Amino acid sequence: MHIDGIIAAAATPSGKGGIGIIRISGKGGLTAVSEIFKSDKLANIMNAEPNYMYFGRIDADGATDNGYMVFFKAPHSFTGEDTVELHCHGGEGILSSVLTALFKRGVYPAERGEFTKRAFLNGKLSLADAEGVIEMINAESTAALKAAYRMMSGVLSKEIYSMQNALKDIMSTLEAALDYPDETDIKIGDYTVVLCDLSARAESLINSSKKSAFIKKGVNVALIGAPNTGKSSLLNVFLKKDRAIVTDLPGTTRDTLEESFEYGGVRFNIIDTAGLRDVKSVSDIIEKKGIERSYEAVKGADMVLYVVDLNSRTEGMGESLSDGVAELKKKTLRISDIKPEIFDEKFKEIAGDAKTVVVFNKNDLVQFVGESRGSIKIGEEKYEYFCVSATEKEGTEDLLNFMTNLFVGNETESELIANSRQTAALKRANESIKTALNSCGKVGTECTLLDIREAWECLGEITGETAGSDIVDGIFERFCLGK
Amino acid sequence: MHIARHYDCIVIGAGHAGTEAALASARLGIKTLILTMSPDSIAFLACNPNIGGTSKAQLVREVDALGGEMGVAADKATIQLKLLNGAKGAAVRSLRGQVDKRLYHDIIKKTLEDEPNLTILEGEAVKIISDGSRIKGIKTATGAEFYCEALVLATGVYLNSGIIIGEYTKKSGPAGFFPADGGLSDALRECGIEIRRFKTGTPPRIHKRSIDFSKMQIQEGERGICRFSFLNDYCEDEGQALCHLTYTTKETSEIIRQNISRSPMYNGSIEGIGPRYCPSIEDKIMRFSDKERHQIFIEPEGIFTNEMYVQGMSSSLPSDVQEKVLHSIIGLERAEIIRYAYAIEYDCLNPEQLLPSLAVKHLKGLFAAGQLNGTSGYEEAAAQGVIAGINAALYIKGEEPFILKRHEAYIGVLIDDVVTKGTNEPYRMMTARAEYRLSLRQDNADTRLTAKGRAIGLVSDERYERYLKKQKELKEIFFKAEKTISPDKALEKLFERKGAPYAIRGYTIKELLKRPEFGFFDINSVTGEFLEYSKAALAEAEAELKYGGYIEKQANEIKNYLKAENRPIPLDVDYSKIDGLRLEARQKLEKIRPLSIGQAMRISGVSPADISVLMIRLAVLSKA
Repeated sequence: MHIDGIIAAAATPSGKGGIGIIRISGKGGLTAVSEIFKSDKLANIMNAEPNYMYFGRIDADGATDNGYMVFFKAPHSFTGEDTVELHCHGGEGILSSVLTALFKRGVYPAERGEFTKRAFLNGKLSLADAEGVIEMINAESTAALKAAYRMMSGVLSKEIYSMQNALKDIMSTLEAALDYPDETDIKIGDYTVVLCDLSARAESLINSSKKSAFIKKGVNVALIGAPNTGKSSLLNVFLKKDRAIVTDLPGTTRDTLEESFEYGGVRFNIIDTAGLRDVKSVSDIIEKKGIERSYEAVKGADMVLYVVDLNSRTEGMGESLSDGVAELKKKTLRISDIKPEIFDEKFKEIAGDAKTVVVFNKNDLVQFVGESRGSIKIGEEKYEYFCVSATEKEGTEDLLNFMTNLFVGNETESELIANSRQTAALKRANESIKTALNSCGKVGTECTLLDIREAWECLGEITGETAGSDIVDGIFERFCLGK
Repeated sequence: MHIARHYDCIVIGAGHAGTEAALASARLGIKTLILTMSPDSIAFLACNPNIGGTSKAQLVREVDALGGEMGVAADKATIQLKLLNGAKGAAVRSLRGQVDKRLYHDIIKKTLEDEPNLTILEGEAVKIISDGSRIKGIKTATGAEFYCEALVLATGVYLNSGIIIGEYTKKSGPAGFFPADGGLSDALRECGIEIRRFKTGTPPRIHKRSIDFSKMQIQEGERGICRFSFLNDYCEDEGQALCHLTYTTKETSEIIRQNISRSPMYNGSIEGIGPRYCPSIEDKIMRFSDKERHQIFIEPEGIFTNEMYVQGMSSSLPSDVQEKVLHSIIGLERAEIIRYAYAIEYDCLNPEQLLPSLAVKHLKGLFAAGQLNGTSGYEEAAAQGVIAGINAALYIKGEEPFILKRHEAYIGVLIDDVVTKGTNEPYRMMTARAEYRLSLRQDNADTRLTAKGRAIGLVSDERYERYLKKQKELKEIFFKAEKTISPDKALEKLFERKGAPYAIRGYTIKELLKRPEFGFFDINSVTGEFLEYSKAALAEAEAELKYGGYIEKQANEIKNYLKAENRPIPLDVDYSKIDGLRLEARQKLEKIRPLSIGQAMRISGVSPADISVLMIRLAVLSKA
């Protein structure tokens, strides 16, 4: 609980709206905002005129948007404190990016009802409103308790408790060594290994929270690949209708095409793109533009389906069966036969941060030997691959199931999904762990301990357990100390 | 006719808390009486023959910075001085001095005797005189009545105390002094004070001639380190006394296991709660059975005695078992016991009944300090003593109490911890308990507290002048630390010596000091700029510069902490009328009666939602 601290929350309901507003209340909020909002009209955000709307650019550590900022000077605001509002475009993406950026800069996520509570404490509401405010606080805390109770048995709470305990163990050991320099039996061990592990675990929880965001906003999937590999055919299979024009001619799809479909309870926003080929070699100006757009599409994707034509791009690979009738003459291919040349030289760049799956299409035209799904090494990285036939609708179901599980997960995993408040705490915990790791050995343990303690306290915000006496208890549980 | 006299302030008990309280009160111009079971027990070091240690040295230096006596006396009585954690960061470095127990007692006793406003009297308080809401005085066992405005209780381990050695028990204070069992405990209960029973223990003392030191490791004292009192310069003592380190053996564990049924701690005849951090040897063996051996330190009790203290062998085992255990320790095969180890049980009060000023909440003019408040240790006692003495004096003068906050002093942490969270075992100070410990160092206790002590009136001219001189030095040092040392041979050599990569460029002194391997000692080898300054000022400046970034980061946390501390809660809030609080929170708040929202937030069982409700109700109350 941070009395008088700067708090922020989205003031508009979650979901897709035309605009989304983030409200930041508390002294110093403008300073935090000045780091993510720039306006041509205002050289120094700190000089913002109250009650004026400034147009500018929001840059929340990479996520950008055009938007407006309004500053309300205390006491002339809803809460009675200095308040800043950022009006961005709607959509979970930008709003959560802005909040995350603010939380990184010393702003705390507002408790439910906290704006109202502050309004009351600052005399903006009448005394008669007190009952209502208290009712709201208690209702929220009951709801929070219920949520916490649900968490108690959950996998998430177990994981966070376990992480908190691991941090407590490190702290107890380090503290014992500081408070009992005469004791020879305190073995500190390599706590950096544990810290690295904890950071990885925090990251995996943070990633799991992204999954829950996918359920709400949908997963952006880009279909990428060389011309005439069957991307549009695949799109049509997914959509269960002939949305895209499909021909045998390479370069039929000139522009990106966006469509949505649902599978297994997940909404996929799928973008079909123009086939990739070296832009310089393409004379058609429309196709050229299309290819550029394909690269753009990849940037916004959560997932890339990299489609490869198993038939045409495998000349000289595998062995041709020369016997039998001409029509049945199929090439036999093993996964080990597939050479890296079939992947675009820009593959790595395309794969980027998004989850990339290699789709070997036109399975019907070759004799593929071996597992129809597995993993393939491209360069240094391993990628999942699926062999499908878009025309025969073979293997596409497998691929869809895989995609769904990837973003929603199975049941046990879904319990690991943290909500946004928990995610914010986890992120701060992870930052502190990383700071502690960076400082190890460069400063005294009493300094590193500050960061470890901060991480432990952040996790405590989730579990509700941050009693400092725990650490002292830990010292005496672990070590035999004293006169 | 019985004696009946009036004093402004009466202190019951002349241990480390009582003597500091009495001196503080008397020095603030209050006519003070200190009542002791025996003047021979004044400032008696009943257990270990040392003062200081991690976090405890910080307390001693804070007491000293405020104008207390412990540091001054400890310096005079020191026979060996060490700096613990000397190789670690400044915030966790702590002095520990082996002191001559007899000398320490003599020095404090003489200081009390020399204090003009202070009367020392042997006697046992047995009754509290009050009008139900305000303290009026006390009655002693011999029938004398002493009236007062303020009463400071500092009964230490004497209240209803009993010692235990195996099957043998006796109503006794420590070291054979009389226990205070004439009725004070009941008198306090009658005043509505909740009494509890704690226990602690002490190891045997043995004859020096019976120890085989050749089998032990020598532990020497150090020179070139600061002393406890800011009135004194760095210690350069030669010929310091020696301590020795030895170990228990497998045989030790076997003897204890075979005889554990005869341990009163294990057969249930002791009810008091003992501290985990001061485990008896039987506790150590039973709880940590996989540990092969335990450390034992042999420390001299003083210069004019051959009694040696066996640190690590605190026990309540029967005397015959104690001998066997002792003889199983390396080098103690023929040890002659002079005094047996014993456990001691005593009455103390629940510190949740106290305000941060150490005043008892429901009885005006009554204060409590030291082990009576559920703490342990000489230093913890002295720290509370000086605060209780100051606040008793301020109360009599009708002034606001003196309360140190958690970011200002270990004393603040200690008192806030026990009055806000209570304690289930004797509370020991630890650096781990101080969240702002980077700023609460022994080197800067004067910078933190001496001006406050001066404002109260406890700091002498001599102390204040030394303080001002150091502050001036610090200012200059910080100014000069911004200067750049130009690249030259000497600088290059320094880097080479430290094994640090050297780039040919200028370095600011501040920048050099930020590196862990550089100190002012090294800076002095390349520039003469700092040769003129005292070691004390350089040590403090170095710590401040080294911790710079971290201290700045904590400054933000402190700002948040203070915001909550500065939202007061009236002492007379009727919590039963605050609707919307959960039952547990209401009961806790009713009992603790926090003085601020910040303190309320630290009470276990009070949730953030409760705090919100409380804030809203208080806002309504203040407007109504």
